[in-house]
Amino acid sequence: MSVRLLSSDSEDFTVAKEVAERSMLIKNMLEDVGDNDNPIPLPNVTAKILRKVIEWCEHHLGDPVTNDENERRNTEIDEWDQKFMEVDQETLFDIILAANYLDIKPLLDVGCKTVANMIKGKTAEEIRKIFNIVNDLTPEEEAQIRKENEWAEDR
Amino acid sequence: MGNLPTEIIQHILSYTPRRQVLSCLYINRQWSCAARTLFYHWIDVYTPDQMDAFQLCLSYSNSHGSTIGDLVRHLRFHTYDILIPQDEFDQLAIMTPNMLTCDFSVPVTDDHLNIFSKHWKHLTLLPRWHMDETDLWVPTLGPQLSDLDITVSQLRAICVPGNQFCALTNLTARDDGDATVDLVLLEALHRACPRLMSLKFDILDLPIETMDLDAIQPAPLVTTLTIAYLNASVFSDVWFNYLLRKYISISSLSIELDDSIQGIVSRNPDVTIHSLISSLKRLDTLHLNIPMTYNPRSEIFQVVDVEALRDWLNDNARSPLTSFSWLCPVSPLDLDNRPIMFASAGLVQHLTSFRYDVSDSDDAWLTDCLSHLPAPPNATTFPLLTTLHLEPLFQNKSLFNVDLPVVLLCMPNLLHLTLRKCQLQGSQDPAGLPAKRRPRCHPLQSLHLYWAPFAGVFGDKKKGECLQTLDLTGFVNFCPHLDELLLHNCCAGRILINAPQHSFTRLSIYSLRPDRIHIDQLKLVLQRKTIEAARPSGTLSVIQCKAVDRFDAEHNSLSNPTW
Repeated sequence: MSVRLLSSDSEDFTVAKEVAERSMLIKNMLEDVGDNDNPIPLPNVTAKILRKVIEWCEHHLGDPVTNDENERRNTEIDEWDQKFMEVDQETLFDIILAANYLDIKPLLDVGCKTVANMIKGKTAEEIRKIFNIVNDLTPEEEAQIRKENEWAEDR
Repeated sequence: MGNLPTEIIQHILSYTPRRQVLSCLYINRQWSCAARTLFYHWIDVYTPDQMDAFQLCLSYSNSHGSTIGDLVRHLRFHTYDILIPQDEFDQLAIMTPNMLTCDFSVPVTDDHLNIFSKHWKHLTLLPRWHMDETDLWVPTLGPQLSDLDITVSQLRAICVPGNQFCALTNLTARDDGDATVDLVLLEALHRACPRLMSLKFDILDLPIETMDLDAIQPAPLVTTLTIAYLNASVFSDVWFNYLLRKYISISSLSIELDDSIQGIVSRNPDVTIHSLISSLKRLDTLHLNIPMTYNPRSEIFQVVDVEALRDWLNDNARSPLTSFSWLCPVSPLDLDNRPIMFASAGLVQHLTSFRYDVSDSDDAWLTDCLSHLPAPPNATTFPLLTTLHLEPLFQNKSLFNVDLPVVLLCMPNLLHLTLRKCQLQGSQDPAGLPAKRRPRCHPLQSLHLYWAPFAGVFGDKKKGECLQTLDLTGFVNFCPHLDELLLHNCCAGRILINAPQHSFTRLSIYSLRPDRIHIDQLKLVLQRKTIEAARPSGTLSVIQCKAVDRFDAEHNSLSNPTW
């Protein structure tokens, strides 16, 4: 059985139902509508990103689903996923946003772990540089944060 | 990076060490906010000096006015060198009102036990919390807590002769796999907690003890009883008689039933949920939840005695209920294979609150009633109803249309309305109703509408018509107290609410389909200041109102707290 998905830029994808159901959002929608030939519109996901997401879901089709928070937390990113996540920053963030919207927890975890690895051991200034973030904190706010967290920094 | 929502940043940070989280406080406002919430969720304290510094920093307030104390949920001490006088501890508890657990990772002495401060009313004991030291901490529980949420094993440990918890009024006993609630434990509990008013526990096992049920002293103060999980196969004579004799004053009863553990073997046909309920003279509120039963002939419905329950509910002279909810994914069948359905005009007319899973397409009495209600005076009216929550579970039935103005006229005192899988069509303006019958306003406070997925779109795109506008202006003006408005899966092309004097505390608009209302095309006018999303075009949805405390929409792109 297959399901049709429609990206925000109107590209039509046909995927196996089990693959599409890695997304809790799609799974719930399919349960609500029953059998239906209409494509499922995904207004927040472009074709480029949807292709990546489907690729990931297909590769991880046989994965056991774990609800154990600790197990999910402590698993390292496997080699295939590392390769999969070797994309430009914008694509990486779009994949994370899509995983969040489509409610694919394991993919969201992999994406977030990848970003976490990018910032590990970096200072605030270095992180701003990596992600091109503008610092909108006023000197007063910075002083406030410093004061508030002094107790934790001392250790 | 500015486009990642704060909760995703938090998720990312949760994979980094705490030191890293600290340095992220200085990146920018959004990261700072995410890092702060995450960092202060869980606090570990290793030295007395650190504790002093932490207590000092709790007194600072940041520019948004929220203190870090509000963020702290868990506090753990890793040294017994920390001894805080009771008055300081109470001060600490006042500064951290949302604390859920407080704990020592090392063995404690009785000098440490002031952590059961009376100011932490939500404190939950961690599973197996210092089980070996119960003689130390149990006595400290008594005078302080009014609410307690603990495991059955812990409950067993505290309910021993000599212990009195005079302030405890609300207790939740959670199953921990080690021990289950039985009659001896309940008796010990009521001896130890004489002021209990609200009680929640599971019934998982047959009572094995032989207790003289005639000697049971009732617990007349208990008015709210929640059986969070009732294994239907153990609902025996003993449990039935015990509940009936013990909890004589119950006004609110909630039961979740399940039969998945084992089949129901043999049972006394007179011992049913219906006979229990109908014997409780002060019962006012009843919630029955049977979430896991999909077989319409399941024996669980005999345990409930659904037919007798329905007849009792529909008999105004016998049923004292004002609030009723029935959540179950199927309609049970009677002996002639006809579905047994609860909703009827007679029942709803004497309820103030009604929540119902409509699981059979023949049981469309109420949904039909909402879609084809003739306007008064010809319609049945439901003057007592203040809360209505309907969820049709059946599929392949024509969509559930709702005509809001007529619903409001037929339910003149309705405060909360939640409808799932519905759709709105046509004008929702109460001005279209006959002027003679129309009151000046309606007291409705919250409206939650969830459109059916794939509900029809107004207007026909192929014919070149634009998508239809859902104009709620007249409706909002008609309901001056409307405070919460949720329109989910909304299938209109535009939404208009032009009510500059109206204020909402919560607005939530969201659609699954790109050809329907899109958040990029929403203009929100708050106190005459316009907040416009990125893509202005000719067909903007416009919502004009005074104040929105919480606005949710896709991407949270407009939910900036500074508004």
